[in-house]
Amino acid sequence: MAEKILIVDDEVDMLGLLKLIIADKTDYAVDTTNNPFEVIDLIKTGDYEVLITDLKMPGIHGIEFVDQVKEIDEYLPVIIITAYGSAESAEEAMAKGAYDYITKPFRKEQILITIDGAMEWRKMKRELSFLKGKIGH
Amino acid sequence: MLRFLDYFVSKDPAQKLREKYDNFRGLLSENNAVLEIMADMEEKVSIEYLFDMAYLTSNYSELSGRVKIIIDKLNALGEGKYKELNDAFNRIDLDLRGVIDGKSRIPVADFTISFDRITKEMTDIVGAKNGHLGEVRNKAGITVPDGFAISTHAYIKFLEADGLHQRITHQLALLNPRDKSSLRNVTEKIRAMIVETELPREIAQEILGAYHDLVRKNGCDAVSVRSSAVFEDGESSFAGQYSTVLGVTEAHLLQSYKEVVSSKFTPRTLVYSQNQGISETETAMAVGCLEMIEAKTAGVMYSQDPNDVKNNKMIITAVWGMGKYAVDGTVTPDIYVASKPGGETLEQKISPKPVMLVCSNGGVNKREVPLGMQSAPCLTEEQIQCLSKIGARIEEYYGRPQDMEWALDKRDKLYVLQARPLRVAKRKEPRKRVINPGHKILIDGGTTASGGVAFGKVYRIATDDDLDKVPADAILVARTPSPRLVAAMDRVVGIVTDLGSAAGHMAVVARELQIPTIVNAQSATRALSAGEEVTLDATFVRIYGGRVQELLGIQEDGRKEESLLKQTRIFRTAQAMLRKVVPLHLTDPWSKNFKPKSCHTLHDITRFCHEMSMREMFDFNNQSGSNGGMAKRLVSDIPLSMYVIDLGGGLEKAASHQKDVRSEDITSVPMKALLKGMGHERIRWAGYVPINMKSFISVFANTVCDPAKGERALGEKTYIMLSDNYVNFNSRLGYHFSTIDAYCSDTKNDNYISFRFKGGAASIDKRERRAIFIGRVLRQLEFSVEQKGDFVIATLRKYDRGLLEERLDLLGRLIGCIRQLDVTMHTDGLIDYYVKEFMKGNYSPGIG
Repeated sequence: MAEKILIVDDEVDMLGLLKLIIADKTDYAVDTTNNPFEVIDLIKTGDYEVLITDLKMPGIHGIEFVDQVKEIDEYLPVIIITAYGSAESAEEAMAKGAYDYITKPFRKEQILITIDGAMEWRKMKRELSFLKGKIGH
Repeated sequence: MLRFLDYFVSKDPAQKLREKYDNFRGLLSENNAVLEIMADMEEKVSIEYLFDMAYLTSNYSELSGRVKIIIDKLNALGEGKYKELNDAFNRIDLDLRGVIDGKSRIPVADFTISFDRITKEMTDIVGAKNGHLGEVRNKAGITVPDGFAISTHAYIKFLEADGLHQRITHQLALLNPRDKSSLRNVTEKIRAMIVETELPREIAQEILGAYHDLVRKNGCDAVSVRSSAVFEDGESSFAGQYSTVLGVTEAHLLQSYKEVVSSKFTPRTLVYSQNQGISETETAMAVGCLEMIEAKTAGVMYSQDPNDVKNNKMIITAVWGMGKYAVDGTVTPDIYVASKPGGETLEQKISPKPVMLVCSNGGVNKREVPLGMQSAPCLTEEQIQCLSKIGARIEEYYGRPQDMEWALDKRDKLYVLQARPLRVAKRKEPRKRVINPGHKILIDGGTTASGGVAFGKVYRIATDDDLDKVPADAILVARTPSPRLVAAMDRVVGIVTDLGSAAGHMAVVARELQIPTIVNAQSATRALSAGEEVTLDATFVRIYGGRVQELLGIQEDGRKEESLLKQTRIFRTAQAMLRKVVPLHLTDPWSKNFKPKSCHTLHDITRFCHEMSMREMFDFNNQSGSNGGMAKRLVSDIPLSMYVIDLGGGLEKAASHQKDVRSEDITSVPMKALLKGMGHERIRWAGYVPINMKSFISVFANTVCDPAKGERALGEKTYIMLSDNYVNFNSRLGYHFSTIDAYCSDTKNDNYISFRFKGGAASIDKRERRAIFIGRVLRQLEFSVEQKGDFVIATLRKYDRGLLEERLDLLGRLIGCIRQLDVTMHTDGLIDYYVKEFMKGNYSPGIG
């Protein structure tokens, strides 16, 4: 089964484009939502490998997801997409444990490379955790 | 970087000149920053990037702020004599803010505008179709019918009459776009309201006055009244969606105007706008009234095969009489494939053409084509060549393939009736034909209107009523490719028609919406049964029974993505913004139009300010004026018109009282090195540049409306400011612009060279190749280089004096070398060849 990615962005245009780019160029399955308030529920049930989120959405800040997501799935990489000129907030998200951030404007290939990196990171973290568990036993 | 200024300040007591120079330097620095932002935006606003509104608003603020500073600094230099620039700036800034706020502003303008005054910059006043036609006529020198436009301002004023706008808005609010009968009822009501509302008297009078003027001038007895909405013929063509009324006499002119305006509101135009993400307010409707051409033959010309961008072929379609039947699918036209640029006929397919549309008694009539002519070709070899040349010229002028409508009158005079960007398939390697996918072939043949593969159930259309019932994901099958089919294009995955050509309006829209489409399939309505599952391979014009996974699996990718991106509001906002920022219209500083009023973009303003700042600084008209007569002509073997101002220690003392100075009088270390390079014996300043015909057309098109350009050649002034260790060299050579700023002393840490280059006369691809060439050479010379489009910025810092002099010498050679290199840059392969030649010491590689 294809690995799943969840994208959240309140801008429907951007959401559609990201989904199209990722679905077109990779084998990942992509789910999207423009409602940030349903993200946590989706993560609880969706078995996602990567979360891609806009940083600033009405009523919620992408940084908030980082903490909440880590409670559900410690090794779920969160990729933050930030508006032009708002790299500082993204760095704050990184400090909280986001996997990476991308500032607009960005080349389309950049998101694909970042996703691949995030998938690798997740695998590595899980493997490490598994091995640690084994050693612990 | 400004250390030399301290030197200058301490050595020269002339406070006024010091302040002038301060403003001048500030203006140059802001100008460079503006050019950098423009280049960045040109790069990012493309299908390769995803960007957001913050990027656009932030760049807008920065550009706007910097351009304002440039204007202020020029006014400080010119003691306030350029105040008019503020009006130009405010006008452009207001437009830009409108674009960013999503509230396109319809400018106040005359109700009618004669075609001899129209250019493409006037799109928001005269609509896109009129704007392009005016541009083709007035800038590219192509024959188009005479006439006038009825402005978008007239449209707005008409809508204000009798509460029409409110009534339309009210009806639109009641509309349920998914309910076909609601769509039909509401649009019918709106159209009736428009046609029944009386035109305000002042608009009616002006339209009739313009008509009388046209009749007096040309003796014509009728006009064609054509739509020209603001967004029409841009990224979204609206091909065939709005009305054209042919053969309109004075008695019906006002009614025809209202009829064309009302065609904004039909079910298919509303569905099309919705598919393209275009709001109702973005389609303000201007109208064109053009003298009727009594066409002997007419049709469509694509300056490039839209389905194969690499084959360098033009496609021409032709029918007898007027071209309407070629584009609305009434008649399957003759198809001619011609070579580019020669216009040699490579293929022709002559179809039977039983009927034609002709002018008669000021109107138009359908006539039977005489039997002997029905299957005869509409065009001779000579006429095809003539058409191809015009097509190539318009393509070269716009720098991209064009979709043109044309007509040949009874005296064999050729008119271009419309020119718009041609939507072509994505540049990619063509996929191979699947020879035998193991499925029954139902149709084998026809013409690709829009490539790609689709799978779905056949839905056959017999009448317009059937269009309302088309189910989702259907393959639409019809006898003729009528533009009416557009009303169902939001639901279909593929289209097949028995008749028609790839140049018809329906085909244009199918390409825009990326719907795989075959036209002229002859027997589709007979061979395909309703409800049958088929796989349509429009690229190789075959239809298979059932689902051919092998074909569906090799769908050409990237096309949908590009289409979706271009339909987003942010992309369209960015493009609209670029149109108000980047294009440069003030190319000739000696033209009478080189004035603030002619500034249409921020680039025009900065170009104007740059030129005027030079004149103010060097003050050629007042040698005993504020610069104290310090600007001196530099006489040398280099055929440039150079003027210098010595800021201190840059010239021999003995030369300081002379009007003219010679190369030997220069003592400025960096200038001496630069001059040495420019005077290198292997640079052939006067050489012949082998320009091919296409490049010639491009340069010619730039020059034809501006004879001064052709004459001045190397004659524009180059301005140099120098001191013992410093040089600031500003040159406009031909059509490009370069600046060198360098400080060269014994203190290594202070030394630098800064080089900037932009522009050229050739098309953008050739200019870009020259910029890449410059960048590669400079990288080899250890410069740090940034190149975007035709813009290059290169810097070299903290080199010791000897090495910096060497690099300036080589930079001088490079300036000589690149003079007209862009027009010879026909292929990417030449870039590396020229780099190697330059590094080997051949400084005139493109010159014969």
